[in-house]
Amino acid sequence: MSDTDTKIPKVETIEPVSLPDQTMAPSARLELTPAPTRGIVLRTRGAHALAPVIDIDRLYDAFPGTSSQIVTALELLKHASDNLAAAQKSDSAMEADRFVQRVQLTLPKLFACRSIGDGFGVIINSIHFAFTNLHGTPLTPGQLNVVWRALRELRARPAMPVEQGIQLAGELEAQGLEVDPPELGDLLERSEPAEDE
Amino acid sequence: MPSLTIDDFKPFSVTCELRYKSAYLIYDRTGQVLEDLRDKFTDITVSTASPAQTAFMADEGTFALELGACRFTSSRFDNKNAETFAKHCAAFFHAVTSQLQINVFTRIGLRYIARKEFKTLDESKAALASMTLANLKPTKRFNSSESPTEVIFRWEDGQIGAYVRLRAETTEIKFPSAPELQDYVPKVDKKLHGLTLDIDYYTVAPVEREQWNSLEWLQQKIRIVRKEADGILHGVK
Repeated sequence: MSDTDTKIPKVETIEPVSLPDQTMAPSARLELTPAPTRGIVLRTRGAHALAPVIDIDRLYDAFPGTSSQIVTALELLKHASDNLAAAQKSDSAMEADRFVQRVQLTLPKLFACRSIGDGFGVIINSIHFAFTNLHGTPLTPGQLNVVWRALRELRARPAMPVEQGIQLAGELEAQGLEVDPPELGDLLERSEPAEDE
Repeated sequence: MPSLTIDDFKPFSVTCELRYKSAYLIYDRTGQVLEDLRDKFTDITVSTASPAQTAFMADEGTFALELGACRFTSSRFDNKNAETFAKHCAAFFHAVTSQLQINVFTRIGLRYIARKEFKTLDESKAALASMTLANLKPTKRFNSSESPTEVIFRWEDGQIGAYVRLRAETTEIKFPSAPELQDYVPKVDKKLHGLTLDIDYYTVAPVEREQWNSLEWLQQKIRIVRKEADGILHGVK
């Protein structure tokens, strides 16, 4: 695969400064002596669409101690999904609830990372309000599974668009989780009789 | 000769490029991409246009939009304004990916080119030789110079790759002034000697659009590029 190109299509006017190819590296391709392959195309490197997508941890690989919002978010999401996975496997309801409570504790920190993407904010908000609206009632196995899947999906695609976030919030609702703020529910209830009148 | 650091090199140009499978919507929506960009880059103009390749220029940098790639280049990059560069890239790539409906990038690359000037070409060559980047003893090879004038390294696995090139070279700047303008604009014919540091940091595996936050990625990778380059120049790691 060739290197990151720096060329800009040639401007058809007299350029004020013209620098030779070597310094500007406009083509940026190594001009190696070509070797005939007799019709066999050998690919030793390069991306192709059928290959699996990049590992998210490698995409945002950073030096230890780097203050990066996305690195923080990925770590928190990993802890959260690990805890939910542990809760799913747990035989004890008490122990499972402890794992879920740990997930709840990470939500404010994840909320602070919401600028990563619009979909990110929607999912974290939805899960936060889902827990709030449960008023301490433990999650059912189905609800546990859907929250786990939502967080895993968010970790794999942290920059997802708002539409995808709304779709995942819909999946949470389908499992009986109320993802809207309680105040919004009150407002809607109050507005409904007024509309009827 | 004292060892060089990354701060001795002045950024010459920084480019971020996205590659993708041929986006045929380019034939219909290049104009819409330009309209979207006008909101962010108020003085943007088209420098060249053809159905499959268009270049735009603005005060912030140059933009190229092609059938299989798009890139933003800043020649005014300052190490302190990495965030500004990342914001300009983010605005451009958002316009392109939204309008051309690109969901998978086959490659994302960050190219960082910087220069350290010397008085003569020999000084530049001596600086490069003093780094002893390769384990080759200085001796005449291929009946040419004793020390290499260019050193290239590439690291790559199935996910991420990096390319580093160091070259001692002379750059010529020529500005042939038009005869009717010679009284106003002086002719420029200058030679600059120096060491060029050229780094390309790129993804090898495909990246989904939903995975990539350009603002975060670029700032993070610019830090990595500078830190790794510093390590190479010092001969550490």
